[in-house]
Amino acid sequence: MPISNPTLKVFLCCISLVLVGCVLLPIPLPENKVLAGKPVTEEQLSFLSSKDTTTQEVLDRLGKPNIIWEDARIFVYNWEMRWGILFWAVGAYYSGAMGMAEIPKHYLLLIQFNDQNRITRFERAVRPLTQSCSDFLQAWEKNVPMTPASPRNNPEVEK
Amino acid sequence: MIASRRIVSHEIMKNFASRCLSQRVLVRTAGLLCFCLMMLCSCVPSAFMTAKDKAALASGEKALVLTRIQCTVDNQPCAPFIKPSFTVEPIFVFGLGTFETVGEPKYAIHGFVSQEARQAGWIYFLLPPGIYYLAVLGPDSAVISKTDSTNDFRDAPRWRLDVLENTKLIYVGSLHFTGKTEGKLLFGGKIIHPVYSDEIPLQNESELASRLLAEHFPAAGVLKTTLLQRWYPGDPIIIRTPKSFLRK
Repeated sequence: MPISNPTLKVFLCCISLVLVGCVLLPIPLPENKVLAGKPVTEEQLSFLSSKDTTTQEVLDRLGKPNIIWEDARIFVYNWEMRWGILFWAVGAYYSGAMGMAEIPKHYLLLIQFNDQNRITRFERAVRPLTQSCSDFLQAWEKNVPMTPASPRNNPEVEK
Repeated sequence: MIASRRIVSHEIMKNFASRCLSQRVLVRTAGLLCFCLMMLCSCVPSAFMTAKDKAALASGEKALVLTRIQCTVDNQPCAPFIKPSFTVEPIFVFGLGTFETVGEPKYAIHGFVSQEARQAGWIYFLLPPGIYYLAVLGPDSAVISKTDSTNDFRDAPRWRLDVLENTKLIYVGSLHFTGKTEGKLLFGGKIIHPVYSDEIPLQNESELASRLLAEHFPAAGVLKTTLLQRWYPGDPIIIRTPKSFLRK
């Protein structure tokens, strides 16, 4: 039997939403909390702009990288900042649950070296939540355009 | 009239009884099948080598990486790989971090060269050349519930292992783990928890390993020993592009 009453339709819709009972509310916050790793600031990157910067200088200034991609000659420093919080609530009938979870933002500093252990390019990038670290690194290595989190840096072109 | 009624009711009763009997047999068979299924489900997938695996090993596409797990629980030697059954759960599972996971260990199936090797704690992984991170969970009586847990593998002790090109048989060392019992399970099994320490002994038993593999893979060539390297949180994860990715 078709439902003709619009008020009834809205009411049924509301009831079904309540019965299915799932609320997800992401709340963006200022990025001032480090969830994992050690952040690398833009100021710390100024020394990378020179094409004469060597692997050793990078290690001295930034410490050991989190990931070393051996054959691609890539160092990766990664850290996570809190982008916001996710408020969630699930309810059905007389019971329910609710809570909050922190939403991370994955930052990476990627530095590629040449055969003479000198920088060829570097980038401070953000990895999308939906993309795996491996896929992201492979795309960067192949020079596939990323999300515009920060401009690409190529010391050899700049000079 | 009464006699015919009696005959009819007797036949009905007879039919009913025979049906009940066949139903009982059915129920029993179903029960037995259920029990067998439960027995099977309680097993952790672990394998003996198939023809496909042997072909991959012979062609050099994959290498057999051999390690030995030894274990003591409450200062007593304990068999690490008892054949699982309905009431006996495995106490060790393994995770492997690869190029695809950027070193993050994910549940990996291990194999046994033979039943004797299994009893002695020898296990193997068949791996294409590359750098891997081996995480070991156990001895733990609840380890079966942790195979999907990224956090458990992340916190487990981890070692780096390097599978080089043109190597078919690799021995990476023997690891010794300790555990302690804390009570008993419903069917009498022990509740075992691991005792992790920063220094987990790694022993070189390359002669034993060499003899074991020479017995089972006489045509695979010489065994190469490359001992595991302990990886601690904060150490760099080293990755290398696998050949399969280079072909793409």
